[in-house]
Amino acid sequence: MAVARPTSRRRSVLALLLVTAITLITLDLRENDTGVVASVRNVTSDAVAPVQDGVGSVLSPISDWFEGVVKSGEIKRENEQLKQELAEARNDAASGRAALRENERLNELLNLDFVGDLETVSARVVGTAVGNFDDTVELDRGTDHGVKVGMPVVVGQGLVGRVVTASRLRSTVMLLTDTESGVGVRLERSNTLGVAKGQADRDEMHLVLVNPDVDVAKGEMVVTSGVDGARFPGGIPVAVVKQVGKDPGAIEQKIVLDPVADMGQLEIVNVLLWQPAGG
Amino acid sequence: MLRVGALLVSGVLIQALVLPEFRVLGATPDLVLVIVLAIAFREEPEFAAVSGFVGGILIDLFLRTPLGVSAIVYALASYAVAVLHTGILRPTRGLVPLIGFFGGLSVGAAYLVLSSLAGYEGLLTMGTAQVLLVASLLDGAIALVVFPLVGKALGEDRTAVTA
Repeated sequence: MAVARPTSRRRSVLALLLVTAITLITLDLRENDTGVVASVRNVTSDAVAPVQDGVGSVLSPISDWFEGVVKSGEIKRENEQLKQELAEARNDAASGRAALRENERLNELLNLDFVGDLETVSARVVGTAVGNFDDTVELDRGTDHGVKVGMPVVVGQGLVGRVVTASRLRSTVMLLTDTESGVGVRLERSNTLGVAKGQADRDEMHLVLVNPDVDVAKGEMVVTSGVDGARFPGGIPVAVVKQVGKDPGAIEQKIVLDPVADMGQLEIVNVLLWQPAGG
Repeated sequence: MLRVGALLVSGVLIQALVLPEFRVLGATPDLVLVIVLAIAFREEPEFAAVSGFVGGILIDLFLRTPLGVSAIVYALASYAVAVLHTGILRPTRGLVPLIGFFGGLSVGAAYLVLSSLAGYEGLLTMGTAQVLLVASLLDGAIALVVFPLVGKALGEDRTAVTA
């Protein structure tokens, strides 16, 4: 009777695992949001949701402290800036303008002017991406609260991203800065269309597919295009132009965007109960 | 078997719920990978590959990339470490952070390439390379703690790490 050599048995086990993994990858890529793999992911997400709530409340002060240590340089700079702003605010207060300005600022935060008549669901950010190469956040609202895959997510300043998975109690939002994210946008001044693509550098985007002859100005506002079939309603602020240049020999301009929403400081967001046509 | 399962599930829960809150330059260590490498350091290649596969599938449930990508790279890395340590390497304490670092680096690179082949854009950039490097350094650092803990949890001394 033939006996399998240990090496060939090892290779058979490894080959079996690789075939299984490739089958799973293919299955996951081919199926839609309601397929078997998506359902397993959603069940997992709901199962860990209560643990996540508990862990989050315990860890919050520790992670805040850790962030303070890691980002001490940045915090010092921010502190200096805040001191300067405080000094300016004191001057304003003396002339009675501070209260008025604060009132305007709070109104801006509460007022999602760009949303219009669309219904929204407020959600709390309860987690960030598990992997090193995703730029996502997890919300404490899911399909039980009306959240569905594809819905846009905003804060007072503008667009944050869109829902990419939604279980009963949780949903995951792909941020604008994720490398997979692409938003159809319009430059406010010239009305030119383009696509704002996320970058691996996390806190900026690039504007691509823009007519090379268009004059783009630094500081110009970029809003969602809202063209037919777009993933987002039109007119939502997305970013401002941070830098415009052209690499030698390149046809397209290199346009770097700074998102209007601070992706690193998201706490409460609003999910727009809006889905793209056909979505 | 039960202990390995418990180790993997605990690792996945810590990876998914705790570690994302503690990022250094945008990176977190890959605890599940380091656990499967530590298991591979003490087990036969077949068992190591299966442990890596299961650990990869569990962590894939929390990632955006297709289910199975981490499973492939973890299984291959675990198999390679188990084959190396049974045939070539003598396990020493100095080797542990190197296994963590190079394991993290090669698995991360393979993960990025496979995900890109699966159609995920923008992953092969200088930005991701920087995050990968920091994450690998963190993997090497936590390996110093994780390897002995895994050894104790498995309760065996088949290939004890020597000084």
